[in-house]
Amino acid sequence: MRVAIAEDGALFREGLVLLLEAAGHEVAGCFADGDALIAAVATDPVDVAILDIRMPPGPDGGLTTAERVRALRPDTGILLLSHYAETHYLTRVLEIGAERIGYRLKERIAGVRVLGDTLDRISAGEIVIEPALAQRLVRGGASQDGSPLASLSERETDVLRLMAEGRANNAIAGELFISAKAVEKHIAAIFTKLGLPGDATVHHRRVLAVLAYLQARRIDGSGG
Amino acid sequence: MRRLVRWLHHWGTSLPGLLRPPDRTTAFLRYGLERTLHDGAAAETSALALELGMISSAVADRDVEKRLADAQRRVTDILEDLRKVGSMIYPPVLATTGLGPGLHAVAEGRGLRLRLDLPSTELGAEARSRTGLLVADHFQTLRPGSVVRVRVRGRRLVRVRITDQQPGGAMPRERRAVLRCA
Repeated sequence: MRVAIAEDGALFREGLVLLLEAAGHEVAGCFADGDALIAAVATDPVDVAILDIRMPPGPDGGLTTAERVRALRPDTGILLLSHYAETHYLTRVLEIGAERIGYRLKERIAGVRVLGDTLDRISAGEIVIEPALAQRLVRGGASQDGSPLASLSERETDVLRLMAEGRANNAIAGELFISAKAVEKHIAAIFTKLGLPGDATVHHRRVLAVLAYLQARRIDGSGG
Repeated sequence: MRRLVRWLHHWGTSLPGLLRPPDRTTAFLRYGLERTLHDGAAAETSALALELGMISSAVADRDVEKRLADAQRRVTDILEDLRKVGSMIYPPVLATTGLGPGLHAVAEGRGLRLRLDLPSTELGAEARSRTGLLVADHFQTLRPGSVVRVRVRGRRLVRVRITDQQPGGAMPRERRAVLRCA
């Protein structure tokens, strides 16, 4: 996979290049700000652009750069990295795109396998959400009085958490050691219990519906 | 006497209390501290996590691999602590995006249910920063599950009213502050 990086921290940037190369990827370009990455990607397309959220230009230049990359090269995957896992950034990420995009904590991709898996999923068109953030959203929603999330079984809550990470049915089945048919059944039950609209069979619409629901619940308890 | 104590206690909890807003220098200092933490210790520790991941990929010894995995977990825990400290010094979304999203992010992190009523026109940078820190600091004193309403009015003379109700049927409390901004 051909990858370009924009990250203003020199140490992290160099470490990421080494890790990507160890994972067998080609680093096509490595930049300290978003403008330089845009200039490079305009002439030399890459499969995935990895961007630090908090870098120049501006206070959250990674997000504005991601918008420009998506407008310029809609087929390029985008992985946004941050020191913070915030639902506000997640909302911004999902506004940029609902396919071939990811948002992860910097230290959580610090392994050849996990970095490779993240890039493969983005390249395959999936949304990849930081698991720690997905877990916080599910837990926070379930802890509120009278929340329909509290009516989910333990297994359904696990499935919901993995859906919120952007996992596809087969990946959820593999993670929980259950069949894909059982996953479909749990997802149908979750959608019914939470009263979620939309087609549960279309992957990215399903992830968006779940995330929108969880964010609304978490922030002001008015979701659903 | 007992009635007087009860009366004082009742009015003490129901009358609005005054909050002391951070001054301009303090807000600026806190912004700088969080940035130093983010660009210094946090960035270097994240880079260390990458290096451990790199070394781990090149190691064949199971025992060494396990010890590296333990070290990576400790690094992740350290970063989690740094995140908490950084967020309390200066909430990151408040720094990068603004007052509304910043306060929603703090409320979410603290498990609060927030109703926010902000002026229709955006506040200036100083007012945004000082008001954000004032309210975010107050959020740190509330128990998870509290319902909190925040109303902000004015531009140069910013008036803030925070009403919170902690879980368990406690009496609503009101806090107020006035900030004179440049």
